[in-house]
Amino acid sequence: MPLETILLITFGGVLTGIIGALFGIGGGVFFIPFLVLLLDIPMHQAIATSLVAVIATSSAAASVNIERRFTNIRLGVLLETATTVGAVLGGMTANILSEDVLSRLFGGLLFFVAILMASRLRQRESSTPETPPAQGGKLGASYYDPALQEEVRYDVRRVPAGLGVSFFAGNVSGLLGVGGGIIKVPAMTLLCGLPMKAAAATSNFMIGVTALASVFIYFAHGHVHAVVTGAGVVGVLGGSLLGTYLSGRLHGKLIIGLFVVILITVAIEMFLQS
Amino acid sequence: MHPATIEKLVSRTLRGGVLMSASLLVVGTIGLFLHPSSMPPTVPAPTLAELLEAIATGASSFSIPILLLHAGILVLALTPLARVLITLLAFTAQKDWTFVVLSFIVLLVITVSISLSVS
Repeated sequence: MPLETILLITFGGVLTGIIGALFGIGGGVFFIPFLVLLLDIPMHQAIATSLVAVIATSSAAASVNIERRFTNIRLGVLLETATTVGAVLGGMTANILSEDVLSRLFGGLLFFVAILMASRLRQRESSTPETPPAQGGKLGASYYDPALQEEVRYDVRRVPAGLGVSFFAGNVSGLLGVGGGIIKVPAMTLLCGLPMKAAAATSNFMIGVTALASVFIYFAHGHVHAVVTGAGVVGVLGGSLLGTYLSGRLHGKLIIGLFVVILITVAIEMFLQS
Repeated sequence: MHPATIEKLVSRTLRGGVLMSASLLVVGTIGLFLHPSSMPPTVPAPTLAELLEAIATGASSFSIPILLLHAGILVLALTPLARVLITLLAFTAQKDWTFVVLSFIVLLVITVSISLSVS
């Protein structure tokens, strides 16, 4: 592999890390198309690279979130039982499927992400759901929200539905190499009644273990390319640090609109790739 | 074990794993640039079994930068596993048996996945 390609992989990692941190989306959604479309890396290798990068960024973020007490560790462990099983099955399926099929599935996922992002354009900026006064419940928890300047308490509802969604999110993660937060976070806020901060932190807490559950299957098939993965992970980690430093999250409608357009373009490219 | 202690321990494990792995990966990548001849000529990556064998027998076919990269990837992959072990021990110390069982299930799924991959 030429040294320029390694530099490009790191550069792509930095870019996707920054974008991921700014938009609150894991790197995989951008990094996999970058590797496949621009650098001709085989799809399975790109997925494996992304899974390792996902472990890196989610572990780094989780370590901060846990100290802030945003993470609901008990709920995370409970949902991990479902999400890891989903991830193992997803990883096994991916290694049976051809590159073409995976590329098309990935294109479909990108359309889904684009729609989800487009729906953010309609929402109001403050996305704090109503938190009914909660007491007790083994999974319920509380944390101090510095923005609201108060202790936020909540209960966890519809646990079976949460388990089902976690299984599905794990499945998508193992199959396509993304973290799956894009599925878990809305499910945890809308179905289980978690406040946004707790949902994002708990989803992140689970993502490292989810990726771990399937990455060894890619290892077994010889898809973990040391050079691609090493250079990529260094880039993504650096980029996400930079992105977090630059700003918390972007809300500008123009930027999100542009982002949606890019997502759809990449989705079409991924379809045509196969 | 106090919940705050557990949180601190989990947080430090995750951070330590990422930092250790990132150092290995950065040094490995720089090594590739300093010694371009250490680049593997073949496209297929080694499987986990081949890699473990190479490490156990003293790194026959891999150059040092490539081994550093593989070590970094393995440290990173095992960081969440260490986290699962710590939460398992913490719930055991708290005698919270429901969550001991749940942590154990997670550990079991991951162990099965890894052992299937090695064999």
